[in-house]
Amino acid sequence: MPDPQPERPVRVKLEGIGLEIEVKPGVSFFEAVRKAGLAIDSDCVGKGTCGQCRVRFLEGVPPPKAEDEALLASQDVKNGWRLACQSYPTAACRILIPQTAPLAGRRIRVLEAAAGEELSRAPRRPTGVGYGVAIDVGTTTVVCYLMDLSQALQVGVASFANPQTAFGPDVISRITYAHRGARELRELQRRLIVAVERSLLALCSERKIAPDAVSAMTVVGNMTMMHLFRGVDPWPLGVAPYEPVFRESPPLTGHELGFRRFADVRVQVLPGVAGHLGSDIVAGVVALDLPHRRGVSLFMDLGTNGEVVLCSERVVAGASCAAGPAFEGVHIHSGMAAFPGAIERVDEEEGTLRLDTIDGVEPVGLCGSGLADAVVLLLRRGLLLPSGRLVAPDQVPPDVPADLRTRVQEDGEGRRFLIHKDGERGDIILMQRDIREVQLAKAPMRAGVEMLLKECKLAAEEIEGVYVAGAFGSSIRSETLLALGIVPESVRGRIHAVGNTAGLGARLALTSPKHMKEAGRLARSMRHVELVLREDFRQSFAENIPFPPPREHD
Amino acid sequence: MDLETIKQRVIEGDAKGTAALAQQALDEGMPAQSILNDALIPSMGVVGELFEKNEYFVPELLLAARAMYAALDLLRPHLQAGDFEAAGKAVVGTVQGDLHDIGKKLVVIMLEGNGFEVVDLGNDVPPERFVEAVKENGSQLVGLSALLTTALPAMEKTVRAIREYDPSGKVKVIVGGAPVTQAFADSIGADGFGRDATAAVTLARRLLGDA
Repeated sequence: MPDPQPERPVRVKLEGIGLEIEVKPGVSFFEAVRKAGLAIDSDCVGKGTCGQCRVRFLEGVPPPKAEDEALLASQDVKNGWRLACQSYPTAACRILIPQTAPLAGRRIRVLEAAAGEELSRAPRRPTGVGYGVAIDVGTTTVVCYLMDLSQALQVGVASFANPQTAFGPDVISRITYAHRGARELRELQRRLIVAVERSLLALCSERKIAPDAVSAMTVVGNMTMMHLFRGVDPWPLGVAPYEPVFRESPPLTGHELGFRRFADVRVQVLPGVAGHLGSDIVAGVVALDLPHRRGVSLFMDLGTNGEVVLCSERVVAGASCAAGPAFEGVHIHSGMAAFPGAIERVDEEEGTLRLDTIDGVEPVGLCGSGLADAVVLLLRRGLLLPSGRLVAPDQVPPDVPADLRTRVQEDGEGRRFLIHKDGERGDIILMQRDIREVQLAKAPMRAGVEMLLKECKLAAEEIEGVYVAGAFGSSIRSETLLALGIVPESVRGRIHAVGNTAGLGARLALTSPKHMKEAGRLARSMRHVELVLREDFRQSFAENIPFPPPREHD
Repeated sequence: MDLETIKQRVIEGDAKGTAALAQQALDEGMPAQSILNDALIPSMGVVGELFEKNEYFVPELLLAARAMYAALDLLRPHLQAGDFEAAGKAVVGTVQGDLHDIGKKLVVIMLEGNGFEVVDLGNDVPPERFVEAVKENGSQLVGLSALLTTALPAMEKTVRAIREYDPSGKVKVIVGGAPVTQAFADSIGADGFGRDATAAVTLARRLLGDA
């Protein structure tokens, strides 16, 4: 039965995102959010069969539908949870979306401290006249840098969420969408190019630079992003043996890619290695100058996908691991992306929990770093066994403070740990199955490191420096990487967060021919290790599902 | 020899202990058939339950499977044809274009642990290979796995190929894997969808009429 439809659009406030949207009559909340440039997780894409698109109405709760009753727990329905795809808001309401793939309003974290330091080493002699732009196309976030080529100086930076996110949060879903047909492929390219162009025009206008003064562009991204930027169907990356259509791109013009105001700009997409190892990784290794550092270094890019590169004076090898989306907050009960209100730090303080949220507002959910922190705290307190099993309420070790003790809970749905009690918005909890998701996300990364060590005939003890890049990589503590077992214990004290090295590499390649050449050399010489083909990877993956036993004095 | 002790060793994932106890039981003259039917198979049933309750996870399941296979290897030479009636004959594989097979491996383990005779075709398996295997083995059940969304079209093709070979629908097809949902399974005409390895066993039993 159709809902009684309002005559005018209703206003819906998206809690925790700080966004208000208008929903027209007859449009589901799911569609409205998508139109607003956000996406809600859904396998069935709005058919009301998968139950993933659950949202919580904080005000203006509509009556439940049959689909709500069928797919949601009755307690949840009572608490205002509904399927977004079956909800047609008829009155103003306030809604909490637990898992969104953001397109707008996302707080984007790009650490620039390390970048500034590294850039100062770049040659300052003029490499051109006018201006250039370096674009780092991430699966989730795109960053544009405007550079004064005559001084190799950065004059502006802008970032925005990748507009392709509306078609899926990860590369595999984008590949699937792009392969549907020429129209869909073009749509993905078009959305990206238009958004980049808009961002660049805003940057130029802000800095009072004529768009015509921009003459060069470098682009980095993972293999899928490289293909979609150029409008090349990335399908071969999605099916065995997972190889790209191209690794190196000829120089292009802005016109060929569909830029309007930047039609004459020379565009160089930096080369990738093979498989899913793209130019973002090449750029990162170039930016850190790893091949020329003494000793063995390990480079990890922890984002939507995990990539690892092991580098010594004689060999450079890299692998890409399908790490699972747990650290993006996806498939986690109280998980969310790194929006304001996301718990990004969990610590124990005076016998209770201290929670730090992005922007210091009331907690809404857990983002990747908060999730990782919570798991580590539980391990340390013996509330979580190294096997990944939460202890029962009656098995809590005697030295655990009373407040933490009461947070260990169990009911018919299983064991859980209460992170934050919130009568209004619903409790933030860590479920047993969330911990299983974390285990499935962290194990392949460590197994990837182990496979590279094996391939290069090196021991973990020989690694002298670990450089962690990527959005999640920049917000996670090195202690957490060790406690989860993502990196071996022997690298303790040698872990460095390096921020967005892909963007740095793109800028270096833009302003220095030497670095551009180095990227080409590295892309050809890096050995690509395909993990899924290896029986020993599967074994290592299984071995690394448990957490390391907590250290005595922690 | 107490069969309960053997069962316990499998659940604990103690391969050496299980094998030693199984050997001892054989030496004491216990029929291989009862060790299999009254210790090994029930133990994997318990492991499945623990997995379902989230108490056991992938590593514990793999360890238990290793213990079960260690004992099974000792029993095989003593098992006569007819000693053991398989719960069903199954062919399992990851569909063409997908190289991920950890999830599929768990399904194979749980099916074998529950008395099914399983042919594991590995990964990246073309539709015609599934059909050939069904022909060769007289299988009543086919299990298709996929980890990547990009492999779903191949899953659909495989179901179609099996239906073309067996239009009567006697051969049951079950599907699973991260991107697979009940709705997708229905849309490609599969007989069932299993969320995980234990669900696959329940489904297989139901479809083969041995509930």
